[in-house]
Amino acid sequence: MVGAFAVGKTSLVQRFVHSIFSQKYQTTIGVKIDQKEINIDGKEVTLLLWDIHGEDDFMKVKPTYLIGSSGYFLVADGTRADTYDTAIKLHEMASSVTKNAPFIFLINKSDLQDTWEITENQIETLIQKGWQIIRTSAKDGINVENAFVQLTQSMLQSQS
Amino acid sequence: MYDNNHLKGSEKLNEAQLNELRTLITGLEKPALRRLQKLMTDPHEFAVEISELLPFSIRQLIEKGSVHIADLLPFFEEMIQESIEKNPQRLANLLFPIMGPAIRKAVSEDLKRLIESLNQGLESSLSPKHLKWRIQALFSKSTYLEIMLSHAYLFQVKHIFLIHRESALLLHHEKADHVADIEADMVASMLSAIGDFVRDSFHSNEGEGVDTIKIGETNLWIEQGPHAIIAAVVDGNPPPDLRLDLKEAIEAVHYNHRTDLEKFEGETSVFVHTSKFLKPCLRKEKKDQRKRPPYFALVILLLVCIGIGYLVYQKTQKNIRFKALTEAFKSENGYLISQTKKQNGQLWFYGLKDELARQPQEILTEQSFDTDEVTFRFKPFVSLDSSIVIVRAKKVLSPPETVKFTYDKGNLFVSGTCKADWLDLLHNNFHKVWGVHSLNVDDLKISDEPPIDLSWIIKDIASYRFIFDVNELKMNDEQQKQFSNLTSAALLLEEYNHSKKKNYKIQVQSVTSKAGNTDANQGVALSRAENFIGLLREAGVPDELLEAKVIYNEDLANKEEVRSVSFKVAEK
Repeated sequence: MVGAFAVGKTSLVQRFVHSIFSQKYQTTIGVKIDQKEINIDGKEVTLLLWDIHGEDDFMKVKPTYLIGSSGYFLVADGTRADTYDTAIKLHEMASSVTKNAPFIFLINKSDLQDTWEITENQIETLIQKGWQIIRTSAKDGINVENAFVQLTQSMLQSQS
Repeated sequence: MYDNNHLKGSEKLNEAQLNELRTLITGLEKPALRRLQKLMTDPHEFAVEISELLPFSIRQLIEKGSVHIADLLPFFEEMIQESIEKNPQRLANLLFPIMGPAIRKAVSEDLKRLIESLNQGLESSLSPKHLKWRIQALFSKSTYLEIMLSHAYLFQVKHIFLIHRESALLLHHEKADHVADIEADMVASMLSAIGDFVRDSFHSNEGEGVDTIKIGETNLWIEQGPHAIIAAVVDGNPPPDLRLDLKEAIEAVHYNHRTDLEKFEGETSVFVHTSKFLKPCLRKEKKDQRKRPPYFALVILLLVCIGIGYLVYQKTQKNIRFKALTEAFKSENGYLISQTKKQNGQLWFYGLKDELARQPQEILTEQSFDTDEVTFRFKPFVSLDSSIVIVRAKKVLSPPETVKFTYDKGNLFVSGTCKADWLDLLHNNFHKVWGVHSLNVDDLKISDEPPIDLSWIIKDIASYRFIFDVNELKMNDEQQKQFSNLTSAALLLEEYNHSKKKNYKIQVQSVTSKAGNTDANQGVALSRAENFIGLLREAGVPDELLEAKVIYNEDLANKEEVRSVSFKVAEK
């Protein structure tokens, strides 16, 4: 899970994953690891989610946290246009480090879509580049489970 | 027809056509066919070819699990053994380049471990815990080092994680018995993240990583490999050689699963086999159980031993005393012991007792027994012990003091002097004495005169005084006559002693003075006294009745007195 600061990465996973570590791990060492069991076509898959501290002016995402990832979520806050740019920038770094691992761009806070700053044109541009984009709402749980399923399927396909 | 055509056609085939035909049939070019043919015909070539493939094939077989290294080991061991037996020097030469570095490495590891141990000790030597150990060492027989080591080597490896280095995924996890389950996958990833965090934060090299994390009593020891890392969660103070175990384990994992690690895509089932490398790292060493000796138990044991020893001693002593008492009664005249037994701490005597025998209480007193320690069950009988018969005879016959009885085998021997009427009584009554069958009076004299009073002898002996000239030792004629009378009196003294049961002695007092040569005076005086004693002894006076004594008299007025010998009779 990578994205700008306060885009809702933690909120997205919080309700759907099994966690044993405190939230403060993120602010201390920059990452918190959670686990999620998911069933894809009858096959049990264990996902280890690295919820990486949101990038801001004071803290940069450590590339080493992305090394070895099988896939990743880019997360942006639909109500904040700058998070879109941050996500694009992070994608450049992540795709390089993970050697083009599968990813999904999650635009969070779909429950507040009326106030979104990220425009449909921006989204369309990315779709045309072949990006998979899912509008999610951590608050309502909309599309969160679906996002995990789709990313997992992509990761499995890329390995086969 | 066909054959002819065929033959005819073959004659016309040139080399190029033949090659083409050969290629069509075998699918191989001529050089390839030649190579195959050479391989078939030349064993050396074939061996070279196979040698290039063989290692790869063996590795494939091992990786597929068709062949296990354990299956191959006996062959290699046998080969090595045979080689050593045949030519040890050859193997020594082969190993020579390896041995040096290996020994250096081992020595260096040992030194490193030693230094780590010393560091461990020194770093915490001033902590309250170590001060406590020092005080403990002061008041115990153990040295500080012993106490420190006994604490330092208390540890338990609780978890071993094998983590894929790149993906940070858990490959395998082993935990010690009775240790609670943990979310190994997440913990492993978090460990990896922490490693990344430290490396990033402090700009360490890629190949380096966190070796040790210590939080309180919990240690995290990490060993890095090219593709995987081993993390051990250890409680307590692990010994440095655990690090070597971890190194060996990660090496073994890489050696046996290199391909699996290189091609790892999330499938961890193959790493179940790493269990045999990881499990040996689950070491634990409990605190030395040789704690302080169990003083309390020892004291109790000692007290019990002392108690038992005392009881045994008491019992033995009692037995000895009982035995001594039994012997005393058995040897006591007038008693016949038929049985003894111990009951309720008492000694019981059964048997016969003559009424004239001593009372049992007297014997008990002699043997230091209390009356409540012994119970007697005696029946009366007539004893023929000589002393009892004599007592019985005295009781029946009431002899005068001048008569003495002895008894032997039914005969009563009577000696001494008595009046004629008592002799009649003796003859008439001796048979009334139990045990006396005959009488012997051969040594009994009849005398109706009263016993002679010899008490005058004491004064008579004391009246003699012999005065000598200066330096004279011998008696003159007059003195010789006096001495003859003295001898008669002295001989009677023995009889007097006997009749009166007295113990009078004659002290020969030789008087001298200290005037002039005292030693000479004393010598002369002593010689005079001894001279008298010698003469009296010759005359038959028993030696035990005589005693010499030198007396100094400083009365110069009576010069004769200081050269005299006189006699004093006194009871000793």
